[in-house]
Amino acid sequence: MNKDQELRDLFTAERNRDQIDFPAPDVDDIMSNSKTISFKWYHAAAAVLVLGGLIGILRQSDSISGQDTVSEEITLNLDLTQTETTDQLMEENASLFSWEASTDVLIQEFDE
Amino acid sequence: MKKNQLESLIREHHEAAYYWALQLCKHQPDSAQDVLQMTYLKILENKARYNEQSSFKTWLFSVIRFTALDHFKNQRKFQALETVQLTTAIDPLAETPNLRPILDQLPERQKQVLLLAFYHDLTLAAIAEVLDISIGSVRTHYSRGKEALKQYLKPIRS
Repeated sequence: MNKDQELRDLFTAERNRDQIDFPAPDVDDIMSNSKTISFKWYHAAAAVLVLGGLIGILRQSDSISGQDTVSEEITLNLDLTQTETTDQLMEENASLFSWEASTDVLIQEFDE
Repeated sequence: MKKNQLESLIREHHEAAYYWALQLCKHQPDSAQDVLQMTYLKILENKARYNEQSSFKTWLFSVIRFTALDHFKNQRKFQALETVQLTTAIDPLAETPNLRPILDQLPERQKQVLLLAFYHDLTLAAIAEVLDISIGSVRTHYSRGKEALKQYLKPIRS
């Protein structure tokens, strides 16, 4: 136990010597540097996000004008299709009316 | 644990933490400060989490050791540090002999166990946790280290 105490004293002397030869830096200096590193990291991440967002917005605005053109074309095509469809119906209706008319004539002739 | 609680615990143990980092970095203050900075960053950013199963000092010392190992691995400084010349010579006339050059002659594990036990006043169980070894290994390094140290000190004492 005494031997251990002797060692303990030697280590205490060593600790005192270290405190003179290698004074500990201020805790705030080390912590603020840690925070600065942390801030820099977050700052870089935020900058990347902002840049990414800006690029995204620019790309979106380009694609929106493109979409407008496409939808205009679709509208035009739809109009054309509708016109064609209406024409066909009208033709079909017209032939139906003419068939009814000729049938009426046949019935009238038969009655006579 | 909240960030301000961690900060106050770091403040409380800062000096001991610095000297442990300094010992792991072979008394190179710049490296010790780098290691400590990275350690505090890990803790404050919750990358290293204190689960309160051991004392904060024991856990902090363990994080410092792992951080120092990573630091040296990344910078490939192990070789360079091993070849650092001892600038402090053993002075036989000094009232209390300078332990640093004597400790540097011991195997790394024995040196670390003795530093943690006598310099930092940690229990053998806490030392086992810091060094991530069994308590049986700590006991072996502790008794062998003490014996070796006494052998080195004998000629200086007489």
